[in-house]
Amino acid sequence: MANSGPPLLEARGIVKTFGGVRALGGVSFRVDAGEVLALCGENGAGKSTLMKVLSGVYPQGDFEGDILWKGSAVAFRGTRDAEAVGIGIIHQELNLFRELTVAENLFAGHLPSLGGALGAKLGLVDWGTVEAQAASVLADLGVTFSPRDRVADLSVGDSQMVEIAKALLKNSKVVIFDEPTSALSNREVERLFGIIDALRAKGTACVYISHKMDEVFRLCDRVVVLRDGKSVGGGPLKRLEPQRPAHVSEASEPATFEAPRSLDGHDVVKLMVGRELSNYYPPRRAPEASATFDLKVDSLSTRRRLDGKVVVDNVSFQARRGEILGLAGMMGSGRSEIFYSLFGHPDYDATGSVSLEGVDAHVTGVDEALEHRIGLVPEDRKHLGLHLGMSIQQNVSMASLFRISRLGVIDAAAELERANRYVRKLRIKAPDAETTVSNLSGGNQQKVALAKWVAIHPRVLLLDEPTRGVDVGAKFEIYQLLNELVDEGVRVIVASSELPELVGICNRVLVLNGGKVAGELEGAGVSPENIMSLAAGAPQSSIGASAAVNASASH
Amino acid sequence: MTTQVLRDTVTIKKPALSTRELLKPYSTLLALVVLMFLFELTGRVWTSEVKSMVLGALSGEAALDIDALGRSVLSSLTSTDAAFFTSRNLTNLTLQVSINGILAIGMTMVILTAGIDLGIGSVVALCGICLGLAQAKWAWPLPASLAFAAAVGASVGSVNGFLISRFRIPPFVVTLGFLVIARGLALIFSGSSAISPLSDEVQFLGGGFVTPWFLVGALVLGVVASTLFSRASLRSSSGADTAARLAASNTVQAEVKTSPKGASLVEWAVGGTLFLALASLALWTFFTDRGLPVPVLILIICAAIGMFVLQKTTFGRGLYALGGNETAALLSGIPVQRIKFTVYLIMGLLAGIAGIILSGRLNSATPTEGQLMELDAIAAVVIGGTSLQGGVGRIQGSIIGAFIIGVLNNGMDMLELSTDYQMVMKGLIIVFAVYSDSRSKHK
Repeated sequence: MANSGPPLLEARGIVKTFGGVRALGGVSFRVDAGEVLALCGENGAGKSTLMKVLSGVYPQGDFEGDILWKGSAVAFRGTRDAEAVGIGIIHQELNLFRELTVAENLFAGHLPSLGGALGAKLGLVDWGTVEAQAASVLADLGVTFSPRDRVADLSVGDSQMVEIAKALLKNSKVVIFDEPTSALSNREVERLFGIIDALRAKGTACVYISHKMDEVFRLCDRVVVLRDGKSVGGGPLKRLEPQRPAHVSEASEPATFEAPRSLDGHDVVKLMVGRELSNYYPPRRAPEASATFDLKVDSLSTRRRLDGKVVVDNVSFQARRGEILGLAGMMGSGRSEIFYSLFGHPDYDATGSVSLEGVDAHVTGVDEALEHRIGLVPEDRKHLGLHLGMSIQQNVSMASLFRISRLGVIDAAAELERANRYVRKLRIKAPDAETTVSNLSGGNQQKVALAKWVAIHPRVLLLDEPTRGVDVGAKFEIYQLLNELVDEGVRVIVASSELPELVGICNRVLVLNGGKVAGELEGAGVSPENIMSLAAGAPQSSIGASAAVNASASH
Repeated sequence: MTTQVLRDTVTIKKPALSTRELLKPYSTLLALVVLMFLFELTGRVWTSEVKSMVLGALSGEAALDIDALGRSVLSSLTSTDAAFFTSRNLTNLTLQVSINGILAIGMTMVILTAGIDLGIGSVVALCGICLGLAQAKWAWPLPASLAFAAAVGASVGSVNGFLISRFRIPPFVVTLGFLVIARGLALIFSGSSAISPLSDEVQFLGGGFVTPWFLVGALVLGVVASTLFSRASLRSSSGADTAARLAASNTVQAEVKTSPKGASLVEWAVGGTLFLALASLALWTFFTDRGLPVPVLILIICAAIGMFVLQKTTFGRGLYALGGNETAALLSGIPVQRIKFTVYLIMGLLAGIAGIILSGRLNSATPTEGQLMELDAIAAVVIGGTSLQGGVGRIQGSIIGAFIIGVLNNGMDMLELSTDYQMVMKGLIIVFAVYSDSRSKHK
């Protein structure tokens, strides 16, 4: 369809600078009706900036270059202009009014009015239409919540669905998805993919921004890779799933000006990082046979103070030096809550026994956790893990001020020396240790969050989603660092919702379901399939013989 | 080996600073200087002679003699008699500012934690009354009376702190309550009447003078301390740079948006000039007039301790951390609740000190004294660039803010503006100051 005419949306030579720093250095790309285009690149490569240019967040004149809609130049003064043309964007950060209902959110800014011109002037809202339309679009998405629900009461995944519904309601011809799956459960991801397939079949163009290679290859027809604000390559993607309806990828494949050869995952990653990355994961260390299980958690049960809900239910496990233990499970399975319990988070009440090297290490406050040198790198680095407005140096010493102070006075020289050491050790990319953390890319921010806890010389390090929103290169470096920590004798426990990550780095994986241990996998038994089936509630016995199940630890 | 290779590949652009960016850190200080010159100018021009001529002409009593007016203005402009910049006036100015300055130090800490203390005006009065009772009624010795007054302030502060940190009652509500409670207690204890006279020593604390050589000593100490400090940070920028350059790659340029930091020579020159000018003005003032006022000395000591605490101690670091992101601070093991408690305790203690100075200066403890003092302190803090959201701000800025408010009051008094108009002006200037500050931050 689009082969003959001009592309639906095209950008030519987009240049965008922020105060002397070039975020986009002349990016050109196109997307045609009925195709799903993947936009890949590391954090800071310029993906989000490019999408903000295309969706009118930066008005015409704020950047150089041209935007063409069906072959003719368009100038957006704001997001409304872009919406009017037919470009919808689903932002990475949710832009919802939490205290309003789903329906009110869906129509925010353009509520239909009642009774013609007078009604519009008076601001009377046609709530009947609002609810009917909202209900129909929600039904299309197959969600369970109602238009009358308050957004604050929805899960993160459902809130994301509301964002998607908002874009669908506007009948967009181009829908941009900016890392839509980072907050979704697997089931929701499946549903989202179904929706994108339906959009493609309808002839809508989709731009899919993601780090996750498996998603890109399942979903997308073509890829454009950005690096350092430039498009460094792209082309049709090798299909991973031959069962995908052939007409989609074949028929709408445009006669590209890009590389004719289909790209595979290896090619894309190579383009993204600009170098050969032989493996996503550094080689895993084999656990030392001599190391004994000296972190023992026995019948840990935890209630959330706020509502008294049991979030961890009689969980027992063990860990030792020399290996990485993984915690797997769906959202709400209690992964983070186990960490909070071990860390003495004041919002949680934990019972049960914890012992570390034979000493009772059941803590009831973060200060006690620090005494036992138990560290927690929390899931949400922006809100829980870091002080974005403070410098790298100040963040690094945040949990270990006692080490660099005497009688409450900080030794500035020692602090700086230490900060520099960790900047080097973790390869944090920044001009100096006094750089404000908010100026760093996601990967480097995560390294700072890690450095803060490495700096306490942890005996136990708990990491919750350590690579969320982190680009491929930085991920690899973080994994390497975890291996180094393991070598130094730290007991590392990683909770993650990315199965390949758990499989790639963990020696053992504890799978959780509904706050309980659903099973434990070790060695060759650690596979995405096994984790998935346990997390979904399948009994451990149903797992194939290859799964070496360590029954002793989950007794 | 690798050092050289990497150094070649990495070019960290340090953009040349424009004049505007250069002056930004000193904007409040510059505003203060400009304001002082403005009052000097208007003070000279608006003499009683000119005033009577203009007012006479306006009311139609006499024709305006432009020649005479011009001559009068010219002569006052060229005369050597200053209007604002007299050492007597400047000494009085510092005396007026000292109490608000002391309160602004505590208020800076409170606001850094994203809190507020609305009750300090009443606490000032309450502490004054307690001092008055101890001195005039119970005839306690001086140290005991002073300790009692300060302890009352600290206790009110610690009750505030306890309620805020332990029961998580919003500071606005708790301190609003104490705005009324402390005032009521002051009235009850004093029987609603002023207590006087106070001892000579207390009067000395409120309005006495000491040799200005104390200021010289303080300045020397300050310069020594700040060079020691900047030596550390200089070493940091060289040492850190090499380290970071080693670690950094080309992507730095894209990732680090702008970081025009690292004190350039020009920046040092600007700051140094301003500092020298103000220091010499202060020395001249105190050496040519009665001397260094004791409340100013107390302000200097409190400010020095406050700055040290905020910038050099774990407590200060925790304070900034708590204000910047309370949850992250909590999850880093920062004793969040203890810091909150302590901050209000310090605020109460400083209110006690302010109460002592105030009653000493008035030679009387009055239960109705100190009203709206909290607002002046908050205004000073906000004008000084501290964010009401917490986490960002410095005591230096608040002191400058207190001086801006003081210069406004003093200058408008000099122009014989009635207090009613003064209030309107002051309010407008506070709003404008915060507006321009937030604008410059968003740029």
